[in-house]
Amino acid sequence: MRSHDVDSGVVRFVLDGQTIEIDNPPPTRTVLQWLREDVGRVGTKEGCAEGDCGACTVVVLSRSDGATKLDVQAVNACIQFLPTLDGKELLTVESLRAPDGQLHPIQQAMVDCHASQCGFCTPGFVMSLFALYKNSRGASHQTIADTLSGNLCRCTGYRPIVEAATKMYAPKSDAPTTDTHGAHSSSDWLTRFGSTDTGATDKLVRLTNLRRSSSLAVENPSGRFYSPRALGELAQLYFEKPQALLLAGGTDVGLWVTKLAKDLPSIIYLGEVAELRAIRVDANHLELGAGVTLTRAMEPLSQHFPQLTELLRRYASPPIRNVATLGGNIANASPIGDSMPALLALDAQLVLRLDDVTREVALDDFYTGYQQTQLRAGEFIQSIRVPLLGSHQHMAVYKVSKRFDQDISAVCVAFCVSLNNGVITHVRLAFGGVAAVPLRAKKAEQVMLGQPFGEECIHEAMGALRDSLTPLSDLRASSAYRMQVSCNLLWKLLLQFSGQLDVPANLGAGLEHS
Amino acid sequence: MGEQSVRDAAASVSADNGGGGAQEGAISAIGQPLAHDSAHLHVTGLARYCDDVAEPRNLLHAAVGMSTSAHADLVHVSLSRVRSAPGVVLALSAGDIPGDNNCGPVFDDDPIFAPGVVHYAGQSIFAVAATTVIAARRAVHHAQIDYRESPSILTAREAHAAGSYVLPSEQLVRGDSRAAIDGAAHRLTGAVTLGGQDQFYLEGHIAIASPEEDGAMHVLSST
Repeated sequence: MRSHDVDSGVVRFVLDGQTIEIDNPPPTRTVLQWLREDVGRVGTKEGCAEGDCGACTVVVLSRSDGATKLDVQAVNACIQFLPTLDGKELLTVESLRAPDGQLHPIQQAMVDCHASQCGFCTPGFVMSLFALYKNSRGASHQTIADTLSGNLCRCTGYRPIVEAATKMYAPKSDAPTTDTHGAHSSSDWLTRFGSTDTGATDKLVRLTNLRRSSSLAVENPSGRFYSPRALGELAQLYFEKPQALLLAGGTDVGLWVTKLAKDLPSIIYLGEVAELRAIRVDANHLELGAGVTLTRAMEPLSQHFPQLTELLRRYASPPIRNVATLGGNIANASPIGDSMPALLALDAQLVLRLDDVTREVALDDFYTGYQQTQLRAGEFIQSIRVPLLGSHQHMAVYKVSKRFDQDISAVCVAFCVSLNNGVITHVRLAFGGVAAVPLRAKKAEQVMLGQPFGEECIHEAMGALRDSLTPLSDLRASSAYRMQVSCNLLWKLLLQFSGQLDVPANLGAGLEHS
Repeated sequence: MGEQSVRDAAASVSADNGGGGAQEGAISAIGQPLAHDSAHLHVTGLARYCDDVAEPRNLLHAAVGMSTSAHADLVHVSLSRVRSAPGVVLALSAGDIPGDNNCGPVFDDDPIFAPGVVHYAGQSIFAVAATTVIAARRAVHHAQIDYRESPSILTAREAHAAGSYVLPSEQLVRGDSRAAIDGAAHRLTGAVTLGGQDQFYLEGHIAIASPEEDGAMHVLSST
């Protein structure tokens, strides 16, 4: 039994230096709804209510694990449930304006560079770029473009916004501002670099003082929201309440509420369980806790699997990656989850936990049907173990989507091949977007195993693919396109590993065209 | 105004103002990078959009019931379960419009509610007003609509092959293109397909209608 304090259902966070306390709010009320409807802070906009357009971008400050520094992250307020702010600080576009009216450098740069027209997307861009400003001392064009992959603008064509982002690090001393220049104000922390200056320390102290004596347990007529603070507490709670919905980043679950109008009567939030965010490397494996966000996973994954770099860069957008987790991607069991093809090709194992018992299941065995997994009632993914690549192993990952950034894949593949004197000794062909589940094309793998790696075995594998894959047609791609592209990507693998990426003249030989 | 007199005007304005300062006159603004009038409001989130206006008390929220068929006769539309859904105050369709069921800005071809036939998926068939946004959106799904589907033409090529045009075709002609092409030393043939584009700013379409005295209606609308 957990003891409940009187205020165990009070959500507490900091906004503009004030501690906000909300007594047992509806758990699925979003931060955006709260800002716009409950407190009248309408600078943050609703553009899509599904985490794509970025008009709702806000910045959340939280204590890093180990409590040594502040994490400064852009997030989409439209799909962020209010109780997840507990123990954190929220910054909105209104927070950037100094009491004397002086604009923050990013705001001033956007004025000077003509980076707004209708202005509706502008607060979202300001906040995404503010997060960049706080996390770096300068940014390349590519970094700026990647940072902004979660912000859409329909009017400016982006060029002046990117220019403003390059200029925000070096504000002109004679730039006109809306009000007179004042003495240093409480916006100092907002404008200065680094996370070790006085302002950041003050914020860290304030968040430390917000720490709860007991776990958050919100009880509202519309539902309950629990936020365990330790792995054992989580396991026990979920074992007792297996009907509850586990919530990590909420980047899909948020849409169940905003787009599907679903009721979620019981939620267990994983965001406060530090053990789920552990990252460990040993001689043979990289092990990522199921609660590791995509942003934090990017570095270890890219370091050990450089072939994943582009996929990770194109995985959703920074505000999504800042909250979305690998465990959530896997457990959500979508046929188009972008982490799964790569993890399948790498023979990833999942450590599952039910109460105080763990078991290991290969990701390859995890899915039992469309959006169905092996998880038993009360069981959750604790971590993902990924075998490191041997020197003889070659990997390629290709993501095909209509939009380069922040788009759901039409087809996403990961291929892993080991060669010995040109003969294939190990092969994994993993596909997403072409069947009810992410899967390995095992017939094609068997065809290739033991063969010399070359045109002939690739052509045979293409033929076998047609037996393994069952793509659908939807608004992203037709089934014929998906089938064709899946075969073509095998050819691309051949070209890549033989050191050439020209388009062959007779690619279509032996393949159907429609 | 001739160029000589423009220069004279600039010189006289400049002289009046002592030759400097922000008020040199309209001439000096040309070629200068002036900030958007509202830029400081955009970047601070202080610019006001329709959805930012404080909601009036007792505001009802509307949701639109849209066609799921690209081309069909509406054989039967029943809104009885929509009307009895939680929070619903009112549901309206084509038969409820007292005036002209058309909102086309130029041609008389854009019904407000589909008059018995739908011509595109997403065409509005009815609207429901409820006490909350969620109640209105949920109520939409309770409509019972029977469609009798017809074939639909979805590309320009299909339309051209079927002789089906939104507006009569027009030709803009100057000179004798046939003769010029036939007499050209080199002739190239090809096809270009271009998707239609419309400027689509990010703000959602929204309007708030407030009844006033004597049957008047105040409408605040995004533009």
